[in-house]
Amino acid sequence: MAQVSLQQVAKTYDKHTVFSGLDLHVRDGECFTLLGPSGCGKTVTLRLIAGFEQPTAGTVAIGPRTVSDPARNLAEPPEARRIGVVFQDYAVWPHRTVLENVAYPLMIQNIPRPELTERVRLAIEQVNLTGLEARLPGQLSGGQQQRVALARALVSRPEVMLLDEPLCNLDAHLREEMRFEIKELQRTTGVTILYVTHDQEIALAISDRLAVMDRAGNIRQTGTPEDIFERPADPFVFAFMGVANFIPVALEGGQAVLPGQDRPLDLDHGLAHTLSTPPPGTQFLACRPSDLEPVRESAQIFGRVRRKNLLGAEIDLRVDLGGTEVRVRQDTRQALEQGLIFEEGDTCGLKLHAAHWFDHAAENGGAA
Amino acid sequence: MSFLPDMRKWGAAEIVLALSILILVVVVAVPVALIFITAFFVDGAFNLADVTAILTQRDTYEALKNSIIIAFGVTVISTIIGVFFAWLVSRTDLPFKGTMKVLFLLPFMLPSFIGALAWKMLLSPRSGYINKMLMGLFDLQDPVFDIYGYWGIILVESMYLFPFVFIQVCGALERMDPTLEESARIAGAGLTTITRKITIPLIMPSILAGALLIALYSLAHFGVPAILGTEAGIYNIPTKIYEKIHQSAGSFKAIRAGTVLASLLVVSAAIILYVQSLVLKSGRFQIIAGKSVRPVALKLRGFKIPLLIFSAVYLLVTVILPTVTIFLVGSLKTYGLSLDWANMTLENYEYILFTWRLTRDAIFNSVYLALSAAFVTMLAGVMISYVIVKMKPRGKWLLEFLGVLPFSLPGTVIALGVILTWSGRFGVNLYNTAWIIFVAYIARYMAFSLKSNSAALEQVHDSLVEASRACGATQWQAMRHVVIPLARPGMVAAFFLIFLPALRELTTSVLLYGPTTRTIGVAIYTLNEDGETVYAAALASIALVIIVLGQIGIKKLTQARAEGV
Repeated sequence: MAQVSLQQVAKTYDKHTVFSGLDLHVRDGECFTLLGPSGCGKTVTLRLIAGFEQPTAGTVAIGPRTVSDPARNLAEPPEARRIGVVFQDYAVWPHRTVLENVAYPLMIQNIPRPELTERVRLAIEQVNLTGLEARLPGQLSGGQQQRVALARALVSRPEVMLLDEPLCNLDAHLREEMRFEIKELQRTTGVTILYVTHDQEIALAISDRLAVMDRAGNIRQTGTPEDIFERPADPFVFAFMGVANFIPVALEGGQAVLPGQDRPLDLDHGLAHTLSTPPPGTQFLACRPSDLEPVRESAQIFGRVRRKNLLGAEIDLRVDLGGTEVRVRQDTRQALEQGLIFEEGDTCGLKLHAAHWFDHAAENGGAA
Repeated sequence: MSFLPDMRKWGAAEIVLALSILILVVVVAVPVALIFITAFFVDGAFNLADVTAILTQRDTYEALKNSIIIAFGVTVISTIIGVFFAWLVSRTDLPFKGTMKVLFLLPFMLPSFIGALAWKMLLSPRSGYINKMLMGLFDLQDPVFDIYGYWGIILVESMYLFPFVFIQVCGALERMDPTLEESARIAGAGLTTITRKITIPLIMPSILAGALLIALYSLAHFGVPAILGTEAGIYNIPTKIYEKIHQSAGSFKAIRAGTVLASLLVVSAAIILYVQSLVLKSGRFQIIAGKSVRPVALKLRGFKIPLLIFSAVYLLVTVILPTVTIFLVGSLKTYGLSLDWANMTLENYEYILFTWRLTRDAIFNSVYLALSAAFVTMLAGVMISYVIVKMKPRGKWLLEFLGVLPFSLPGTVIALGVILTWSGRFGVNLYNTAWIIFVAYIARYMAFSLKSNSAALEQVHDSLVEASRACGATQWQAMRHVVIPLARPGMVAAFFLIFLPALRELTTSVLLYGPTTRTIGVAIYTLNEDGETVYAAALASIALVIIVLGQIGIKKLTQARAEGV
């Protein structure tokens, strides 16, 4: 198995710069996700590693080998890189059966018959396609085609697997199942996986570590799912990882005053123990809808309910704080049991459980 | 270790690109450019005086006038026929609609110059069989019909060209969302109002597109005016060019006059295509959603049987009658004998197929040229389509433009350009050899190959090739294992799209043939000119048999393929 590293990689097309000076390090045997909005250059990164594109500057290395280095005119072709790639549109060859698709990489390597047969059987078994070997891709469902692609990438025992949003064309149920299977495959085979997606839920669920990329192709933060979710480096990362409230803050003598409140936010009181005092220059308080709990007593913040939507297990509230609308998530059962149902127009108290101070709001203003 | 192979591949891509450009420049760009250069430049200097001199000659503008009159008449009549039958088979409860629809496409298979030949045999004033029969029947002194003239040309061309409109309009009527008509009906509109205000406006772009295609074709059509017009002194531009060049045995002066006339054709074609693009653009809104809900069929009631009979008679008269005539006349001992069993013989066919050098050569030439042109054009087309679709080089619009340009160029123009290019001007003289026809066919049919191959290659997504590379395949292996198998249906289609029309080609080869390089079309035409009507008919029958067999072959092949996948 192998690590993958990109150092100071730049990529430009004519006049359009995708990124300049990208550094990325994927450790040996880990499942690493590159997460970012569409058009941010994450697919280009994957294609640079696969060798379908060449960087304009910088180096790409897989394991100990440098595979791309324009400064030395070095560009190993894709077939020499010992990688497996799973494409967003599956790219299963329509004129070959499942068996022929999966056996292809081994045929190219001239693996002897008995070994080839055994390895293909194993790969097909790993992705639960046993019995469908003779089918053509046109006779398979989307999820099955995706598994053919996965088996085809796995069968040659690559050092690195590159997956480009392979789950985004599947329905929710299949997506969850495949997510689990990919993780399982990685555990059993120990292959290094680089996974590219714009879906933060998959990224959090599947990754050992992940990197969040912005539209300009800069990596904003790299870390474990917990790091990224609990300790976002900046408003962009925070907003990208889920629905976000950015509440403007006025600083008065080192204390934060939220809009529509007659006194500063009481940080010693209640449950906001993760929050430190706002550093100088703080402009916004950022929190998730679930970090705000509607309460009747010991509230820190007061607002007026503008909209209430019952979504089933949860209630979605839009609460007005002196002109700023914040979203609040409430557990339906708990709200019913504790008599905490608020109607539109009611005044509502809120308790803050967790939050972050930022000196600016997210540039895209909200969730992905 | 790794920069060398990559440099080599980069080189291979460059070679393919350069080769594609080279083929299109040599085969298409140079001939077309030479036509304009020859027309407008004398001894390297721009010379408009000669051009105006040629254009103001009486026979020149007569030819232009005739081309326009014929094209106009043909367009109007075939559009009316095409729209009427399209409506009949797609919007009414006419019995046997499906079969009828297939039958209405039959005239496409019949080469129009063979149709003209048949109608000449039936309706020529002195010896036409129908004229003779009517004169005998009613004891008349003068023939009833005279096929030689504008009406003859226009009607015969219309018979074989109306499917262009028919296909377009059938497609539009079938794709049209019936709810558009239904909502008009709910709003209280009657059937005539719906037809006038909803249906016709919606299919108008399709009608116009088909009509302009017919105009383009008829304007530059050689066969029918050559057979039915020259007798009455009616020349259109292609027959005029042929006459000038033929009479002077290919003198440069005649060729030059030809290039001026050809330039006129090119300009008219450009105008027609421009109008067509405007029509198609304005018709965007009618690309009607593909919900295939069957539209309500209009009940013909009392008209049902009469209209069915009318359609059947139409087909009998325009398809069966000429075909039978060709076969019967081809079996006569001498032309002019009555069509009695006693006057029939199979010797003509035997003579044409096995004995006579001229016709044997013609059949061999046509089959050989059609096969090789189809094969080479298919291969070149795959390569050029690959460059355009997959490599996407900077100047790909130029390749696309050069590739489809001949599609809008009349066959006569291509023939002239090829003569100018390959008569020793650049050190290669192919004049009077089969090669010159071969080169002309490649130019003429390149657009078919590009269309069919690009369509197939666009289905081959880049990721399929990249998946193969990621599996360890080299660029060449990926090509062999993924691209070529997936592009094969497009290649097969391209081959037949070229082979069949090339087999019956006349307009181009008639300007290019030499003593031993007649094609079937040329042989039929010249035999007819020389008064060898019986042999012309016999050869035409053989051509029809080959064409029908070819069509059946394609059908079988494409069906087998469709079932196989």
